[in-house]
Amino acid sequence: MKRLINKADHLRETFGIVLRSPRRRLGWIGLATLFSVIYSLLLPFSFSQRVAFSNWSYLDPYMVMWSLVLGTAMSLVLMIQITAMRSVLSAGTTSLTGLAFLASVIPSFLCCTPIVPTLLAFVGFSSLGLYETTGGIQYFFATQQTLFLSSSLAILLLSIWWSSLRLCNARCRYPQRVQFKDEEHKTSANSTEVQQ
Amino acid sequence: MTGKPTPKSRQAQRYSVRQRSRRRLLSIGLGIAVVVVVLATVGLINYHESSVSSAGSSSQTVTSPKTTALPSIGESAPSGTFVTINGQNVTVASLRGTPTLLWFVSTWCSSCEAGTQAMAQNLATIAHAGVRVSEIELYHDLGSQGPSMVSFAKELAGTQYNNPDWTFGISSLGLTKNYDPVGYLDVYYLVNSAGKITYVNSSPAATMPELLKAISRI
Repeated sequence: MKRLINKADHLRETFGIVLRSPRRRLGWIGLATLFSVIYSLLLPFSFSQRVAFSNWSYLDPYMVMWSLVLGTAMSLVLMIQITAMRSVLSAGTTSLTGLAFLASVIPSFLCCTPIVPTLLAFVGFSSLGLYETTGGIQYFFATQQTLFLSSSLAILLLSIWWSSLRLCNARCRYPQRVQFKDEEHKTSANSTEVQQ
Repeated sequence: MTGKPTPKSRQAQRYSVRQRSRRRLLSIGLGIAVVVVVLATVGLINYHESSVSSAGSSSQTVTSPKTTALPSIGESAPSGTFVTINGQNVTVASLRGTPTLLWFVSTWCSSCEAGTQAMAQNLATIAHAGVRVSEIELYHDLGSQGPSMVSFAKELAGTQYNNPDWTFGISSLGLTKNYDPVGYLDVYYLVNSAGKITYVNSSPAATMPELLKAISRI
């Protein structure tokens, strides 16, 4: 329990670092908006079969909610990764983020599109077997979108947790190496004062 | 005291280096997998679009194997039967004399839902051109039962549900095999009064302008 509280403190500290200036907070809001817009265009793909602004006419509260949640989580992961890269660190979650994105758009792209039937026809299914298999697979993607979106969110939260702890641990272990611009200024100002 | 590294610390160092390189390899592998899946998806979508458009041009034929080829433009509309939601048996041959849009859907497919709503909005224009619409549920809903065709049609067609120019039906196995051998969802055929296919495409919600253009040419 104590360890968990400790890790939650680390998480809070990382968020404090990542979103410490108004400029960074503004950047985060911008990124969250951008990703939410992208998700709001991609999630209704299964309705319209195209990525276009007209997809917004298929948005319902469920999709709006998921677009906002996933967009916010994705932007937070990206902010942590950017902070880590600026500190010459690797957040180590790029692949996980890619996987989360893929998991969120898979149901939209695999239900009602020709991908599954074409693949099965290539493999050599024929007649009734093809109908039932292609129908079964596409039905699964059509009806289990919440499962995929929840998995995507879980992966994003895991990425946030993991990269935050990495960033925080690196900062505790190598405070000289993991410094941020304002801290560098403070350090250099302090050292000049000492010299004087 | 802190001078020489002990064998234990060297071993730990080597272990952490190995762990790091293993993790790096894993992330590279995952990254490559993501890129491959995205490329395959885009490739397959392009493949389908080219095969549908080749079915859509009278000079070319469908590129997929014979057993899975969709009927193409210029061919006579294949035979088959369906049962309307009023229980009437209809054959494709009996539709001759009036241009008809034969549209195959599944009641659990989201693009079919969107297409039905788009059709309801454009039915007046389509009917004005003298074209009747037959929206037909694929055989056994492709093996995964969604809502019944009646509730699907009532909910999505709205006030147009009782329009005599729009028939809702359920396909026989033969009709599904003849018109949708691969099991695509949401594919449609425009058949002229002589029983020839004049236009093929999918997802009316996305392709309504093209469909209306094809109807105006009929």
